[in-house]
Amino acid sequence: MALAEMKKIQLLAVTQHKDKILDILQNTGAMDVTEINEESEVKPESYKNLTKLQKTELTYANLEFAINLLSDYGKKKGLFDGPIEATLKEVIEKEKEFDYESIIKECTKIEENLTKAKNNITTHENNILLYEAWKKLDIDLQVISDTDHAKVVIGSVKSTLFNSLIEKTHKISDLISSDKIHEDATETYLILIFSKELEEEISKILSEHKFSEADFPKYNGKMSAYLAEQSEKVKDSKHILTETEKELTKLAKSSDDLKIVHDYFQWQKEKLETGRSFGETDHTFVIQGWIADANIPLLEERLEKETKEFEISKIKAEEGEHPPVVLKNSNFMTPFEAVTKVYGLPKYNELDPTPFLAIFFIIYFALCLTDAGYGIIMFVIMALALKKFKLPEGIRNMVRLLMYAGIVTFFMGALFGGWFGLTPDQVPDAITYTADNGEKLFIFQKINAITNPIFVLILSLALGFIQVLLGVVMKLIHDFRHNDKKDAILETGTWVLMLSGIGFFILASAVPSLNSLAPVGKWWVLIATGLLILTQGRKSPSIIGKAASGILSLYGLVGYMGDILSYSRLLALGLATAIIGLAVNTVAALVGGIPYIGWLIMAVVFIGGHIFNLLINSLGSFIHSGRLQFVEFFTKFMEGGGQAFKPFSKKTKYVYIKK
Amino acid sequence: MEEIVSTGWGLGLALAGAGIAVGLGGIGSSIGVGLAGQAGAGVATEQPEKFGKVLILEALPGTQGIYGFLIGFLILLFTGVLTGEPKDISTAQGLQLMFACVPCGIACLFSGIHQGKVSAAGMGMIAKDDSQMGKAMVLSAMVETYAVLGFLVSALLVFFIKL
Repeated sequence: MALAEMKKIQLLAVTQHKDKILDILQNTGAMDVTEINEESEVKPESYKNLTKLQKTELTYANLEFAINLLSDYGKKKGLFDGPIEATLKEVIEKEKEFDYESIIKECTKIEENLTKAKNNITTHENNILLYEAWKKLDIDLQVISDTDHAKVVIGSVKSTLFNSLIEKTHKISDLISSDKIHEDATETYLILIFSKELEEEISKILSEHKFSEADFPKYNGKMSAYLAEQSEKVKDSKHILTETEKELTKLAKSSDDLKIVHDYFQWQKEKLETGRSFGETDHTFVIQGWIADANIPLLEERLEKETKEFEISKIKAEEGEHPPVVLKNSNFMTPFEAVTKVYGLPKYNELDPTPFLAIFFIIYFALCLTDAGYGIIMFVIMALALKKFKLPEGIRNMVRLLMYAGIVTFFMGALFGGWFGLTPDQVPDAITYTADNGEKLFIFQKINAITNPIFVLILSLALGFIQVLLGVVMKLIHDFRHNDKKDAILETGTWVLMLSGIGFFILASAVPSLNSLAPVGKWWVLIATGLLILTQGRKSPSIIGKAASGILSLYGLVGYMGDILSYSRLLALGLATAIIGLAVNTVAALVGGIPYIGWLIMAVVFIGGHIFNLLINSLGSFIHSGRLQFVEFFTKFMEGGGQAFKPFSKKTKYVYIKK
Repeated sequence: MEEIVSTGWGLGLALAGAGIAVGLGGIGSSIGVGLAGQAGAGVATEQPEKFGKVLILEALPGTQGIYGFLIGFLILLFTGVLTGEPKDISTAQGLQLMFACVPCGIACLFSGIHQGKVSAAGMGMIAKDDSQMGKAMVLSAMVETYAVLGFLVSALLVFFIKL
């Protein structure tokens, strides 16, 4: 129920066992290896492992490339297929047996061909587009060239300008021949032959008409033949494309094996990289790192199985170095760590908020959703997911969290009478009853949030008050234990007195049987106010400063009030779910009136609408009940910003390691 | 719906209220989701595998439109328009209902736009490191608070105005 106690250790061992010790460390996965500081007495190992590391990195990158290339061609993973499963031993053997290198080579070759074929297709298709208009040009392309006296110009002009172009050029001289080849929606394609003497005048006219000259390909034959050849080439390249794709589909069959080897190389890479942060002398080497205190004996035991030539000693952290943080909670609480981690980890010397936020988080979530039907659906889906899929640790915790949330939402929903947004009038009488005030309610329903929202508002604010007060009390306890006791009481204790006094006063005034205690509450608050004024300014140098900052500190009340009022969102979000449900049902009933197919549309609207409502509101519930923890609760007692514990271990991307 | 016949201005004013809530909330959300969507499209182009997260972040400023719609829906429900038997609403009641819609409408208009901006900035966070998703969502949800409060006040007002 807190943060695990971390120790920095130094492991000294004989160099010849280095590889095995690294293996044991990686298999245990309990140590966060830190780089050895250059200035400390042990020098970092020279870079002799570098080439090996480079080789491993290259293979790793190649494997990633091959997996990516093949990912589009293999058989698609179904929703119910879990990750690849293998034992540690199988992974290591796979690397030895499986000829991944030849697959990588083939993939590289195929990829080259693919790019080439794709480029060819674009080039030739562009050619076709470019010269399609000249298809009717019935001359050998080689023949089109200037002679001693004549100049040949080919190109296109806007169809609207064509006539004026012809007119103007023919006005200059009769020694001009113009031939219109083709005309499409906007352009007219033509060929002009004229005497070289006229070149200057004609080119002036041409540029006036924005004539764009065409550049013909070097080709021995007619344009139509050229175009036919180009489309033949496109066809060929497309053929190559389908062929290579077939090959890829064949290769993709081994992509599972590639993935296993990929993970193997990921381990090797990390091992070699970690190996570089060791210090080394001629015969020994040194590893430093953080480890949970409780795991030291385990590590020692495992190392002893291999060799006795090592020594573990606890060392001091360097200046400015903070221990990494590991949350340690009971199995039941672990899912709630997901909520804490959204905010970030607490610092090493702070409290782990997880067990404290758990109950609040889940109640808030349920209050925001308040629909028993949705609760059941959520519980069933999450429970099935947990049973059917092999989920990675992080997602597994989230799914478990949502499963718990489903259960609590079910009970909360039943209490508030939320059943898919239905009203008691719309269901059989068997599951409703009439309350004392004549209101028709669902069975088990105690509160109607729509007719009595004020009650829910008070409930929300009361929950908020409790959580904010708990936050301040936690700060008091934590500071009292770990920091200066006097400061803790004067600084935070006074606020606890103040807030609890206000709570007591409001409670006593509101509950008739406690009314006689209201004066006690009043005095309680007054005394607390006095204490706050006296204590909060004690660090100011002058007396006036002390008084001023003491009085100013009362402004803190506004902050607490704002925090508590923020909890009113619980009512709003709960209402939103209920009203969207109501809207869905109303619309469903309206379309149900359509003759013949009405029932079908009604079913679609009903199911689709409620799925939408469930999705959007469970997202909202999660974010907002999370926010209430982060902004209103955490700020009372923690700063956060702890460094996560990153153990040197065998991490996998694709493979689920069977134990 | 030809039965909707009312003697005074009341029903019309109430319906204008519904229009304010749905319209302003819808504008806020459209702009907000639009802003977030533009940024998100950029992220999804470079890293299509993050589309799911992008979509969630884009959907966050969409709630303002829903809050507005809910207030509009409550008005339609309570005035009886939805069931085809509109109640006789006095001009005073109509005005009350109309103004009851204003908090939600205005709060949702501005909060939708600004939540969209924060969501768009959050897209940058998940583009760099998608483990920061939770933080991006919480930052965005901070802006939504005020839409929630506006919605809450409007809902309470609509509940408590006697018809």
